[in-house]
Amino acid sequence: MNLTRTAIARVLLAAVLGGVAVTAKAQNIDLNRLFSIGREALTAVAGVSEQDEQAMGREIAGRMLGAAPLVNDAALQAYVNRVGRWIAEQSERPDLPWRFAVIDTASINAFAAPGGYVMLTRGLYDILDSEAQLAGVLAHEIGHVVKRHHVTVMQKSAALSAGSQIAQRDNRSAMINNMIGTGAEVFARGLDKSAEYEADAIGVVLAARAGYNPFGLVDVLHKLAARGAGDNSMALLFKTHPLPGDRLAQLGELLTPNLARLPAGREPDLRPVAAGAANPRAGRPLPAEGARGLAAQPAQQAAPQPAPQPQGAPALDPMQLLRGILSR
Amino acid sequence: MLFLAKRCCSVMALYCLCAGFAVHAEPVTLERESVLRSEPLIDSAAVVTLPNGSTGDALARQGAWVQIRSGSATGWLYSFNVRFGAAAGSGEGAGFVLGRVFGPRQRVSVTSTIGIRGLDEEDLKQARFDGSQIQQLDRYAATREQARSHADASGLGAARVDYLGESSGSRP
Repeated sequence: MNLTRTAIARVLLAAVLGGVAVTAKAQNIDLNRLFSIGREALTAVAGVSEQDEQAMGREIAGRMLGAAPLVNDAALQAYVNRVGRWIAEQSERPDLPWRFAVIDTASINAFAAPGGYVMLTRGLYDILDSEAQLAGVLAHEIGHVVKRHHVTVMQKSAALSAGSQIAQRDNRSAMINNMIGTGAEVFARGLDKSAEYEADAIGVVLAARAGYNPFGLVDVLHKLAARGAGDNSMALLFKTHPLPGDRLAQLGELLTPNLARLPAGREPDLRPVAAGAANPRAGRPLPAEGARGLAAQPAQQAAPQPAPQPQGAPALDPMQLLRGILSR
Repeated sequence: MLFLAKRCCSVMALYCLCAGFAVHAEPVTLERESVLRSEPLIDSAAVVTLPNGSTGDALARQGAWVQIRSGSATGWLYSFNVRFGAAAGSGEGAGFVLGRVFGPRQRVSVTSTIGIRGLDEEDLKQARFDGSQIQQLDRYAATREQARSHADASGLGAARVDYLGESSGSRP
């Protein structure tokens, strides 16, 4: 039976190749070149080892840091690495050399590069309220790495561009560079919507496995949905991801029958960014107080300042008072 | 006398400011008809059924539930059934504060960072590898033991949770 199938396959292959040869001859195409391109495409689609993956991730992360450097707060970076590593430990790829970073840009976004590199922007960090929300964001990105989403996209892209003959079977470095493309544009291309929905679902579970309130990511999506499509700080995020409202709808459908089996989890406080953390290398540096400092400027221009407190009057922080009245 | 008048005005101004914040509570809009429940539990008593498009003010959040006040009714809604913001559903965003529902830290007006684009596509295309930054990143990496130690200090225990299935059920 197998022999028969093999024989049929050979006949078919010969017929196809014969057809290609006849067509090629008729159209004056260089067959050797055609087969060479095909081989390169196969190389690109075929095995990307874990070592390749890590090399790709390191190159992409290094380029990303060239565009937006690390927030200059060692304690914050170490903190995010501990939180991220703890979540990654709950995944199917705990042994990757995981790296987590907060990068200095006002954009609201987060990125995952192959091999265990995860970066979130200070703009995003600044709108988080708890470590559970941070965990939700990091777990979503860890989900991309675990599922090798970016590797798959880059493999497809490299296969399509194999005609450029840059990819070389025996030169991994050239192949990796071909797969990555220009700069860190891989992050501007984005992934399939289904990959984002899948990472959301994984993110909720990994955060729950790590002991956090599993709804941290849901909280963040609500925040993003509330900010709306007109917010420039999320322009790139909206270009590369499904709208937060759609993500909430998808996640809601998935979580509804599973609510009972999700643990309540914990919501530890989030570590604040240190004063003076703005990186002088940032192309568009944030003030010491981050996006909030930028935020305060137009508000101060638009609204009159409260009258200064007379000496001896009790200091009254309206937000603190409000939180006291309305605390949960 | 002048001092007292100034002080009085100052305190009044602050109270007005507070009242403004209180009135400007976080608005929510229902994305679908939903049962308002007395507790943040699927099997708690139904207070009232609110139609799609109903609006209210968010008071608190607990897990997958958000406490809202809509008209004279107060209760808990499944958070996936609502969208936050005055322009919820329009995709335009709104200038409001999410602090009360999502914790005390978020106090930035939603509209406040509009105009700050930050990283864009061109920045990504032009990005060049920065070796010193990636080496710096290596120095921040956490070991397994450090991660475990952080989890212990925060009272985080690893839990067994299976990945979510594809099955769907009826919404609360």
